[in-house]
Amino acid sequence: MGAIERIGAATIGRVRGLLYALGFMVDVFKQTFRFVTRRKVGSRVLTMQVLFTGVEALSVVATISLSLGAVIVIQGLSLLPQFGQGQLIFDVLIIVITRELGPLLTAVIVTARSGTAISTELGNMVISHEIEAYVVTGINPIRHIVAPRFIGVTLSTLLLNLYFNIFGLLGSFVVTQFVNPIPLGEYLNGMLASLSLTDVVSSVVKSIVFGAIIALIATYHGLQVERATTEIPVAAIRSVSHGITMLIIANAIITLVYYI
Amino acid sequence: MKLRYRFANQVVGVFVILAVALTVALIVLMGSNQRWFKKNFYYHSYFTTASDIAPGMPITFRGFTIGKVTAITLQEDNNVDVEFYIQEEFIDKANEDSLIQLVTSPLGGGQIIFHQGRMATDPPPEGAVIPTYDSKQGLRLREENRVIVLRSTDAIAQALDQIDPILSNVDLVLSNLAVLTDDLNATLRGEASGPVAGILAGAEGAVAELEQTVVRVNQVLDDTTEQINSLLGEVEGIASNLGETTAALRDPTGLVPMLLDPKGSLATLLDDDNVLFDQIVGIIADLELSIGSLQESIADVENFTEYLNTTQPQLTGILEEGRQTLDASQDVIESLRNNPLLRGGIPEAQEQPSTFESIRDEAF
Repeated sequence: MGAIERIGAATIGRVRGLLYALGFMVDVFKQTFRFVTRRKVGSRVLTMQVLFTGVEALSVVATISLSLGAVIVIQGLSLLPQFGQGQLIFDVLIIVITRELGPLLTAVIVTARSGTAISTELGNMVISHEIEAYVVTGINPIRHIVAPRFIGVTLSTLLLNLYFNIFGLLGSFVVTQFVNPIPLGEYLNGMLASLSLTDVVSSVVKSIVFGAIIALIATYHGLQVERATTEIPVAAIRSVSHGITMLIIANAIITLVYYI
Repeated sequence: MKLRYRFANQVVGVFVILAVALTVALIVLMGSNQRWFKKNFYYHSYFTTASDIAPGMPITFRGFTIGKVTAITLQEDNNVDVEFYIQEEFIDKANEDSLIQLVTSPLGGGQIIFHQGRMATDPPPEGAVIPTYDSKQGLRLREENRVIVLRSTDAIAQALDQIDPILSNVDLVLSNLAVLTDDLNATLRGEASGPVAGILAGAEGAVAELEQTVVRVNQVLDDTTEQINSLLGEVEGIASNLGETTAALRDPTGLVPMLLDPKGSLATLLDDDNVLFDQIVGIIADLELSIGSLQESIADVENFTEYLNTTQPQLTGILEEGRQTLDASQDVIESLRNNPLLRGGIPEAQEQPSTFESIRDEAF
C-alpha cells in the first residue's frame, strides 16, 4: 500500500469515526430525551451513577476546593494589601473558583474517577457480550446503558461544581480566620457583592457542558472495545486523554463566549 | 451490602436537595446583597474626560458606597456623560447643591466621592444633572460654601486635594493672562473695546479737549485782561481827577479859601453876574459826568465779576477733569511700564569683551 493510499485510508477512517461519533452523540441525546420522558427501568442505574460519580467524589472535591480556596486566600492576603487592593481577594476567589478552575477541576476529577470507570465497565460489557444480549433481546443499549450514565455524570458534575463553589467560597472563610480574622458578615458581604449572577450562570453552563462531554467520550470509548480485554485499559486511557483535551477546549470556547 | 448502596436513593436525594438548597440560598443572599429588588435613582454628571472612570465604579459618601456608575457616553460637545445611580436607602443624602468628585490613586483604581449640599432640600429629580467638583457650577457652590466638602484621610489624596485647586488656579491665571495679553495687544492696536481701551481713548479725547479748553481759557483770559486794562485806565483817570479835586480842596489858596474869602470867590460868586456860579455848575456837571462814567465802569466791573463767578465752576470742572485724566493716563502708563510682557522681553545682553587674551589668541 502506497503512502497516498495510506493517507487516503486514514482520512476516510477519521471521517468515518467522526461521523460515527456525531451519530453516537445524536443518538445519545435522542435516547436521553426518551429516557427522561419514559424513565422506568434505568432509574436505578441513574441513581447509582449519581451515587458513584457525585456522592462518592464529594470528599475529593471538597478537599481540593478547600485547599484551593485556602491557597488563594493566603496568597491574595499576602500580596493584594501591599497594593491597597485587599478587597480584590473576593474577585480573585470568584474568578478562580466559580468561573474557571471550579468547573474545570470538578470535570477533571469526574473524568479521572468516573470517565475511566464507565469506559472500563462498558468495555467489559462488550467483551462479555452483554451489549449483544441487550441487542438480541430488543433492548436499546444506548437508552438503557448510556442514557442513565450520561444523565448521571452530567448531573453529578453540575452538583459537584456547586459543592466545589460552596466549599471553595465558604471554606476559605475558615482559612481566613487563621490569616486575617474578619467577621462572617463582612466576609459574606464582600463575597456576595463581588459575585454576580453571570458568574453563577457561567459556572453552571460550564459544568453541564463538561459533564456531557465526559459522559459522551467515556461511553463512546467504552463501546469502541471490540473483543480483547487488552482494549479496555486503552479505551480508559483514551477516555481520559480525549476527555481532558475536550474539556480544556470547551472551557476556552465558553470563556471566550462569556467575555464576548 | 453497604449502607450507602441500600439507601442510595435517599443519599442521592439528600445530595441533590442540599446542593440545590445551598445554591438557591446563595442566589437569594446575592440578590439581597446586590439589591436586585430595590429601587435605584439615576442621575447624570458631565466630566471632561472618561479617564479613570469605569462602569461599576463605586460612588461613596463618607466611606459608604451609596451608588455606582452605570454608563459612560461621549457627547457631541466632547463632554463625557456619566450615568450613575444612588441607592434608595441613601437618596435622602442627595440634595440640590450636591456635588460628585472623581478621586484617583496614583497606584490605580479610583472612586467617585459624593459631597452633600449644605442646605436640606428634597433630592433632585431622577435624571437630573449633578455638577462635578471641578465644574464652574461646582466651583461656585464651593465658593458660596453651599456644599459640605470633607477632607480626605489619605495622604496622597490630601496632597492631590491641595494641588488640584492650585493647578486649577494656575490654569485659570494662565487662561486669563492669555486673554489679557490678547486684549492688551488689541488695546494697544486700538482695536479693543475693553475698559483699558476706554481709558486710553478717554485719555486721548480728554487731552484733546483739554488743549481746546486751554486755548479757550487763554482767549478768555486775554479778553478779560484787555477789558480789565481798559477799565483800569478809566478808573485811573477818574482817580486822578478826584485827586486833583481833593488837592484843589486842600490847597489854602485854592478854591475853598477863595470861596470863603470876603474878597474871594464867594463874594464874587454872589456878585459876579453868575460867572463863578456858572463855573461851579460846569464843574458839577463835569463831576456828574465823571461819576456817571465811574458808575458805568463799576457796572462793567460788576458784570465782569459776575461773568467770572459763572465761569469759575466750568473752569474748575475742566481743570479737575483734566487733572483726573492726567492721573488716569499716568496710572495706565505706569501699569504698562510695570507689565513684564510689554517691556520687550529680556533685554539683549551686551557682550563684554574680555580683557584677558590667551597666548594662543595672539597673532604669530
